[in-house]
Amino acid sequence: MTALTEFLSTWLVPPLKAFFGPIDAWLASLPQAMARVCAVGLFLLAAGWVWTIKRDFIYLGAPDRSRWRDLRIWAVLALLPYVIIYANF
Amino acid sequence: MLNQIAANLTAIDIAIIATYMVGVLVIGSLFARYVHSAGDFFLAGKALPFWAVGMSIVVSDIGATDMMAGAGATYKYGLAQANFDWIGSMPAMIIAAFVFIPYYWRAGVFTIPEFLGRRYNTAVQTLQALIWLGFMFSMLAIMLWMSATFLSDVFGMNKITAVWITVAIVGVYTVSGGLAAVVMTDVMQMIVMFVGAGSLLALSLWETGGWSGMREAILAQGAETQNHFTLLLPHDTTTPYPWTGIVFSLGIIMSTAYFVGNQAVVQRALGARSEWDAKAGMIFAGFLKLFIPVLIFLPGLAARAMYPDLADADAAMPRMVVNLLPPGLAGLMVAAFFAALMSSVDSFLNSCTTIFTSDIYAKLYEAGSGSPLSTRHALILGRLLTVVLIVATGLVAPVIERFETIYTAIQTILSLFQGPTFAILLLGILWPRATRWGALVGLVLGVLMTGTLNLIGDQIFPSEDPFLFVSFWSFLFAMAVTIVVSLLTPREPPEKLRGLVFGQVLHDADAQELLKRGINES
Repeated sequence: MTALTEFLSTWLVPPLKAFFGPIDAWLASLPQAMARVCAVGLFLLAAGWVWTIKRDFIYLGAPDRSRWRDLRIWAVLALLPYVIIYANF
Repeated sequence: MLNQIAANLTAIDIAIIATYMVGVLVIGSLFARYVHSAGDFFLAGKALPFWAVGMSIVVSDIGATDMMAGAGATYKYGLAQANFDWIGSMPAMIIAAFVFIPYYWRAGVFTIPEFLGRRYNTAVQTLQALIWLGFMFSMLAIMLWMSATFLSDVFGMNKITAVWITVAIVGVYTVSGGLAAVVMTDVMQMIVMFVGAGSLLALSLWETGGWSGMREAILAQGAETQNHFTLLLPHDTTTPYPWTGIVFSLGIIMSTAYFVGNQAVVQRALGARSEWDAKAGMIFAGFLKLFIPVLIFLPGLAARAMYPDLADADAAMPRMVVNLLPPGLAGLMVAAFFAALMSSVDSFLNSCTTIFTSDIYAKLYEAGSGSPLSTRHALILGRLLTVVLIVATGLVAPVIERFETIYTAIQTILSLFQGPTFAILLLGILWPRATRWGALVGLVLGVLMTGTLNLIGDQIFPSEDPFLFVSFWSFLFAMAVTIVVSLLTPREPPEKLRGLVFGQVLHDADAQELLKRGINES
């Protein structure tokens, strides 16, 4: 395993470093606030996306179409605490 | 540390632990009467309500690795550890609930490799099945050994004896009751875990002067702990959790790959009584995940406030149990540890058996005899295999001791194939042009790329343990390879794709009928 790692280090690390280096430098230059924006954005995106799904699909297999069985509402309610947490920590 | 817990256990604690173990055994065994076919054994007769699906997914996902090593990592790195259960779960579970689970459900499959086999070919199915079997087998061995270590420390017994005690308890109800027994004991185990861990959390916060007291005590410990209350650490952090890896790799790729490609998770959803219950169970599980870091990792943070100089971070949780919990609650917490272990062991055992039966044995049997495996045959085989597997992992378990850090080992194994698997799953569902050769080459080269990056990743990426970056890039690599090879190879015939790609599964009634006929005929 050590020989393999040495071989890979010799032949692969330089080109891969050349590829990943600029990406890494760019990511490191992003402000820390971007982290919170991206994380909260991910949860909000999920919460918004579920409302693009048709009602028929949401209720498929449900015994009735009562409001509480609307899984889009479930999704938003389940995502809400996460948004609050990531917005504050 | 764990032997200190044992030294402090009273007769009440022992009685609680014994009651818990007997209770799990009895409840699990009760489900034997409902098992008459392979469908009953592997998919609980498709009768599970959403709440059982959700609770089972969550508790199966928390092994003792999370309780001990998770609390330890929180002690060492702070709140960032919670990302694995928060951003590393909920968005992915939403995608799983509304995109992937309905596809699996309508394809009428038992396993994810089976789905991939229908979409691509037997080679992809077999390769996936073998990868999963290898992973689950090693996970089973790891968990059995942890269980043995724990039992040995608590009760002072020999570790090998402890392995076989766990094998006997879990084996009996998993063999007799199948997935239904596994899920219903998971429900019981989750309640025990939440009550036990909740008690420890309450006492931890009481001892540290509440949230603000704990925060002050930790931040006063110097530069090392200044980020202990920050979820998203800087990109160039030396910890394994840079925010870029957490959000883009864990939050989007790794977690989705895990929740849509993990047989132990998906099998519960496939055992639901309706498609609605399957989707609702996944969302409910995502909501329950919110509480895991609060209940399990926060005591690790409290330990940092109370005992800042622990040499071994993984000793944080046992130290809290020994020093804080009174008689009775200590027993409950020990039962919670067992619950975490047993729920993971039984889940992996059942899923491992399902994959072997559906994706390996059934294929070989059909090729050899020319006729498909009967449901009765599959049931007998499933039970027999469960026995063989748990005995085999019991024999292998002592070797696991060589792993330096169990948690890192598991993450490494997972990251090796999660990204590539997710790439071919995603393309298989969303892109009709993806071909069997594209998937096979993408999967193989993707896994090789992951292995390579695992070996030299620390020389390329900034993090000291760059598994998040490795997964992200191996996913992209596998996706690119699958696309290129697919474009260079002949298209799949349209009749093969009917009902298995985007749009058709949800809206094509004829495709559904075709699928149903295909399932019945096979």
